Amino acid sequence: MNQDTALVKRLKTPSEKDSAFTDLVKKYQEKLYWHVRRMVVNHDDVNDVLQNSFIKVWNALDNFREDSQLYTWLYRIATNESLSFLAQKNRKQADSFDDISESYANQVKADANFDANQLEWKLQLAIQQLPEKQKLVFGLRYFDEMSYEQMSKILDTSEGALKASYHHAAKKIEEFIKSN
Amino acid sequence: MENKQTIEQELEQIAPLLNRISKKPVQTLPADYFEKLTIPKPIASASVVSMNSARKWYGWAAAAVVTGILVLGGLQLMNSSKNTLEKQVGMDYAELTSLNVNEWVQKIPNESIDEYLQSANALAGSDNSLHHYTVDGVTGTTVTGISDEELQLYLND
Repeated sequence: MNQDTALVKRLKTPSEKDSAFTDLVKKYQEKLYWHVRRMVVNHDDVNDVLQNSFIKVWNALDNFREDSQLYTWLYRIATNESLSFLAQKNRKQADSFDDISESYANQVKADANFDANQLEWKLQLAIQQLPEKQKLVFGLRYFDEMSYEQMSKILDTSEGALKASYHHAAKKIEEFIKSN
Repeated sequence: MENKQTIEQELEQIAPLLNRISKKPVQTLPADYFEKLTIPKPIASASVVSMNSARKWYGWAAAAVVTGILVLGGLQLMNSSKNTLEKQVGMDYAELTSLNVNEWVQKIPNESIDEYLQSANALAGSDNSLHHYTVDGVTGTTVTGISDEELQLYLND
């Protein structure tokens, strides 16, 4: 995290803000992209959410309190943008949870590379069966290998609750893969 | 970041199958997406004149003009009514409002009242009850309908 401390210092320096922001985007764009994509699924939607997230980061840089880590702050912004996007989309569709899950699963299947026999694709389908919060928890722990402490700062949830949620999600996913 | 081994050990306890699956992303995305990704930075430094405040100013000015027109029009209307009345009676408004009607009528000569009654009769026509009245005619024509007390009051005034 020493690199992030230096990056934050540059971001707070007016003459270096632009170049520091470019470096920040390069460093975190992939991680944040896949984090958003696990929630939002469709690439074009992910692109919009990701861009909006980075714009929010740019606008909020002057208010960034260095007592929180840059990493968790970025994830928090991207998570909130994803959830807002999904809330808006689900409001328009006004479908039941099962219908929404099916809709996301169908979007996964619509991918040009989709292969129903591959474990990796079954994993992606299984993730789309989970409620939004559980999807988030599972993704942050399983793919981003975050600690419960970091996840707690991003999601404003206790570590105990996160641990229970992750365990529950992992078991459900394993069951889905075994039965499909 | 938490030890990767710790996370794998945890998963081995709860869902070991997931430890066998590659975490490499499988979904497609456009070629060179990350190389080409640019974030449009909002323009923050330009001095912006708020159209909202300009619109408010115009609104207030327009409202003031309309109010002024209405007030002036109303005043003009009141003045013209007053003027018309003043012209008709040959007195200004202040004199009219302070007038004691009884005193004023007492000062009018009987000939003037007769003249008025005759012109009013002509306008009213023969069916109108005014037709029979003059100043002296009042006492002649209608005396049977008036009580002695009323007559006495009239003569004493």
